[in-house]
Amino acid sequence: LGCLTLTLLKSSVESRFLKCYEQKQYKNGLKFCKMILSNPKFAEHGETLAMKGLTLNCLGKKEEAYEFVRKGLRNDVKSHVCWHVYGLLQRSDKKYDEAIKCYRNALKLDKDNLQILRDLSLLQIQMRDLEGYRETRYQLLQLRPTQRASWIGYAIAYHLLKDYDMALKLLEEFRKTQQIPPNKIDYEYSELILYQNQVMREADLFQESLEHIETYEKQICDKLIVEEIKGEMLLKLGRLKEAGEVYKELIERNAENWHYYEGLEKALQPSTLEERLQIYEEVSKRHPRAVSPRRLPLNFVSGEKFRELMDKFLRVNFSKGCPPLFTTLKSLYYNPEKVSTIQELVTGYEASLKTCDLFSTCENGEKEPPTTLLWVRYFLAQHFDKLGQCSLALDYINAAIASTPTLIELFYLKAKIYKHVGNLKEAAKWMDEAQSLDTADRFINSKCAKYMLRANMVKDAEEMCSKFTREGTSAMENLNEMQCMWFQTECAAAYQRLGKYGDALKKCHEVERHFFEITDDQFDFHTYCMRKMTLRAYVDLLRLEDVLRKHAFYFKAARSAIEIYLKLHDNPLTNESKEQEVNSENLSAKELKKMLSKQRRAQKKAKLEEERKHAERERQQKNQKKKRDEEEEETSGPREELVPEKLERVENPLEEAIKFLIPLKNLIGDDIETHLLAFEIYFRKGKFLLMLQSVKRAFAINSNNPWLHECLIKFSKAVSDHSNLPEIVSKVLTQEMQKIFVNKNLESFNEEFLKHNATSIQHQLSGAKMMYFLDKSRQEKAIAVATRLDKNMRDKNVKTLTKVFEALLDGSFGSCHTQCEEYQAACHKLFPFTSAFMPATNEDDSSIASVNHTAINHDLLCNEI
Amino acid sequence: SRIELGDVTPHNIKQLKRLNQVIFPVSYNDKFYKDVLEVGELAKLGTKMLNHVLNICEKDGTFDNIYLHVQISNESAIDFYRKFGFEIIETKKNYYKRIEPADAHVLQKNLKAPCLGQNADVQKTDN
Repeated sequence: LGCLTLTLLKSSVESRFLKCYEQKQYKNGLKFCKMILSNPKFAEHGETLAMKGLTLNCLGKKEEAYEFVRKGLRNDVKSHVCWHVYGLLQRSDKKYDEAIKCYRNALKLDKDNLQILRDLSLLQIQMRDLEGYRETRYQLLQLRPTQRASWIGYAIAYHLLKDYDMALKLLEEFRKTQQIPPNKIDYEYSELILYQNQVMREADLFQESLEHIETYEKQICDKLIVEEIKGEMLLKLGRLKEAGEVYKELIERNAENWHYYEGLEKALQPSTLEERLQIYEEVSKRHPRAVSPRRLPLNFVSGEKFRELMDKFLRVNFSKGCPPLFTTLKSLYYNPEKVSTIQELVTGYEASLKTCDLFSTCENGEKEPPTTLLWVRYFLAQHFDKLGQCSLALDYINAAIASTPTLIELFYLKAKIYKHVGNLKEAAKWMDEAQSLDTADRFINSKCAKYMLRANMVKDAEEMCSKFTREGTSAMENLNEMQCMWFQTECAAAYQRLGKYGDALKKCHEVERHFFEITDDQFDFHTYCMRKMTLRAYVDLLRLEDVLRKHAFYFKAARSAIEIYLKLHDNPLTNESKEQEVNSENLSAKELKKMLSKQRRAQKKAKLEEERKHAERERQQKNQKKKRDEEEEETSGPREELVPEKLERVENPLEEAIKFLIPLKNLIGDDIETHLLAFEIYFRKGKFLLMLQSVKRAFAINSNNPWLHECLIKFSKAVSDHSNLPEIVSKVLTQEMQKIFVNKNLESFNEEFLKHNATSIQHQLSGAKMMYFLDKSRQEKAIAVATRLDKNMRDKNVKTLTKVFEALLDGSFGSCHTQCEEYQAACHKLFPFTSAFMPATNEDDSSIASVNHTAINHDLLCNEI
Repeated sequence: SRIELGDVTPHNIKQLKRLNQVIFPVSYNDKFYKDVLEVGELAKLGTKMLNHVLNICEKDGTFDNIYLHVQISNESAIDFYRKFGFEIIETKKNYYKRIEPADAHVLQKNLKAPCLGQNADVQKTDN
C-alpha cells in the first residue's frame, strides 16, 4: 500500500476507531486495529498499537494496555495520535495531571486537532484550570465557530473567571444567532436566556437583568423563576410598590415560602408592629389553611400579643393533630419569655383536657377528641426534654404511651429522651421497640440502627440495616456501595469508642472515597450539560463540587480519622498481641504457663479468624469483580482494598491525618475545631510556625474556647522548652505570642482564665487540667476546681459533667480513684438516669428501675380496665 | 374526628398485638396472630374471633348467655350471628345516635340450653 493510501486509510480508520471508542464498542474497535496490524508492513505501526492498547484498557486488561500504548509511542514519538491515546489512558486511571501533559504534547504535534482540544478542555475544567480552559475554548471557537458548544463553553469560561462583560457579550452574540421566533417556546433557548440573566445578576446589573427578563419572559418555560427574578430586581432597584405586587402574587401561588414574606416585608416596609402583623393577617384571610402566615408572626411579636397568637396556633394544631408541632416552634426556645408562655399555655391545656376534654376549664364548646390530649402530652415531653428536665419529660411520654401504645412517634421520642440524658442502651432499646411496630418503615429502621451504633452495638446495627439492604451481599458492603454515609460516620465513631481503630479508619477512608467519587463523577457533565443547555444547573454543579468537602459527613469522618491517627501516634500498636500486658509478678509459674498458653491459643484463634475473614473478603471481591467484568466492559481497576489491620499500623499516622486535615483547612476554616485539630497534629510534629498559625486562627474565631486554652498553654510550654529554635522562628513566635499572653507567665495566664470563666464547668475543667499539667503537686486543688458543682455553674448538664468525669478517669489529673467515685455519686444525684454516673454494682438496679417504670404503667392500666 | 382504615400486615402486626394486650383482659397466643395474617376476609376473621369467645365462655362454665346489638339493616351480620345460634329477642328503637336506621336488634345466644339446629361444623372445626 502506498503512503497516500495508508494516510487515507489511517485517518478514516482513526476517526472510525475513535467513534467506536466513544460509543464503547470495543470489540469493533479491536477489529479495526487487527485489520491494520495483520498487514506485515504495519505490524509495528505505532498508532495502531497505541489504539489497540487503549481498547484493551477498556476491556479491563490494564497491564497489556499500557504495554501496547507505550510500545506504540516508542515506535512513533512524533505521532499526535499516540500522545492522545496515552492521554486517554492516563485519564481513565484518573491521573489527570499526567493526562494534561500528554494532550499538550499531542497538540504540539497537531495544534488544530479538535478531538484533542476537546479532551484537553474537559480535563482543564475538571481540574479547575480556568485560564487554561478559557484558552482551549478560544481555540475551539476559532476552529468551529458554527458549533454552539464552542460559544457556550467560551462564555462559561469567562463567567467562571468573573469577567462578566466578556461572558455577556459572547452570550448575547450567541443568542442572536439562535433565531427563535418570538412566539415559539424552546426549552434550550429558555435555559440560555435564564443563564444569561443569571450572569447579569451576578454582575450586579440589576436594571439590565430586569429589562432582559421582561423582554424575553414569554419565551421562558420556568414561569416561577421569572416572577422571582422580577421581585428581586425590583427590590434591588428600589421600586418597592411594584416589588410588593410581585411578591403578593408569589404568595398567592405558594403561601408557604418564607422568602416571599421576606420580600414582601422589604417592599412594604411596615413601620409599626401592627402594620407588620397586618401583612400576615391579610394573607391568612385569603389562605386560611396556610401555616406560614400564622407561624411567622410568632418570631417577631412578644408579650400579650405573643400569648394570644401562640394560644390560637397551638389549639388549632393540637386539635388537628400535628406531630411536628414542637419542631416548628423549637426555634423560639432561645427566648426564655416565650418558653415560659408556651409552657404555661400547654400545661394548662393538659390539666384541662384531662378533666373536661376542653382546652380551658372556663370555656364551653365542642369537646376535643382524645387525640388532642395525646398530642399535648407528646408536645410537653419534647418541651421538657429540650429544657433538660428529663424526669418530667419521661412522665409525660409515659402517660402518652399508656393511652396510645401503638403510636410509633411516642417510642421514638422516649428513645430520644434517654439519648439526651445519656443512657444509650435504654435509648436503643426503645428505638428498637419503635421500629418493631412497623417493620416496613425504613426511616424508623435507620434511626434504630443509628441509636444502636451510638450504644456501640455495631453487630446489632448491621443486622437492623440488613432488613432493607440488598440480598446476597453483607449489609456493610451494600451500605458502602450505596454511599450511605450517615451509617459509615456513626459506625466509625462507634468503632473509635470501642478502641477498634483499624475498623474505624476503614470507615473513614470509605467516606473519603465517596467524596472522591462524587468529585470525579462530574466529568461526564462537562459535555452533557453543554449539549443539553442546562447551563444554570451546570454552573451550580461546578460550584457545589468546589465546596463538596464542606459537608458535615466529610468533617465527621475527617475528625474521627485525625483523632485516631493522633492516638495511634501517641500509642502505636505493636505487631504482637494487642492484648493486655501480663502481670507476671503475681502469678505462680504454673499459672503463668497456663495464662501464656491461653494467650497463644487466643492469638492463634484470632489469626485464623483474620485469615478466614480475609479469604472471605477476597472471595467476595473476586465475585464482585467477576460480576463487574460480566456487566460492564469498562472498568478502571478496583481500588486498593482497605484492611483494618494495615490501616491501624500505618507507618506515619500524622501524615495520614494531614491528608484528612487539608480539605478542612481549605473549606471549614470557620470552625474552630479545624484549627484545634490542626494544632494537635503540628504539635506532635514539632512544627512551631504551623502550630502558631493554628492557634492564631482559632484565637480569631473564639479566644475563650476551653480546648484552645489548653492548646495555648501546651504551645507556650513547648516553645519555652525548645531552646534551639532558629533565631528568626523564635523572634516570630515571641512577637506573636506576646499578643496573646501579654507578658503573663503561664500560671497567672491560667489563673486569669479560671477567674474569667468562674461559672462555666467546661472552662473550669480546662483550667484545672492545665493547673495539674503545669504543676503536678497541685493535683488536689486542680481536681477540686474541675469537680465544682455549685449552684451558680451555668452549664450543669449531662454532656459537661460526663466530660469532667471522663477526664478524671483518663489520667488528665493523674490517679485519683476516690475523687472519681465521689464525683460519680454527686453526678448521679443530679442525673439519676445517666448510665455513666450509675455505680457499677447497681447495673441490675438500673434495669429494674426502667422495668418498674413500665410495670407501674401496666398496673395503672389494669385498674382502669 | 377523622378515622382511617388500614390493613394488618406482617410489618405492623405487633401494633394489633399491642392493642389487644391493652384493651382486652385476655391475651392471644401467637397462632392467633398467624391466623390473622393468613386470613384474607373479615368474615373468616369474625368466625375465628367469635369461636374464640364462645370457647372461652364454654371453658369458664359460669356464663348463662351472650348478647349483642346489631343495626336492623345489617342483614349479613344478622345472618352471621344466627349461624352461631343467636336469636333476635328484642328490637330497641333509636339505639344508635348517629346512623340511620337508628334501631337495633338484640341477638342472644343461650349457653345453658342444649343447642339445636346449630351449624355443627362451625363449632367443631376451629378451636
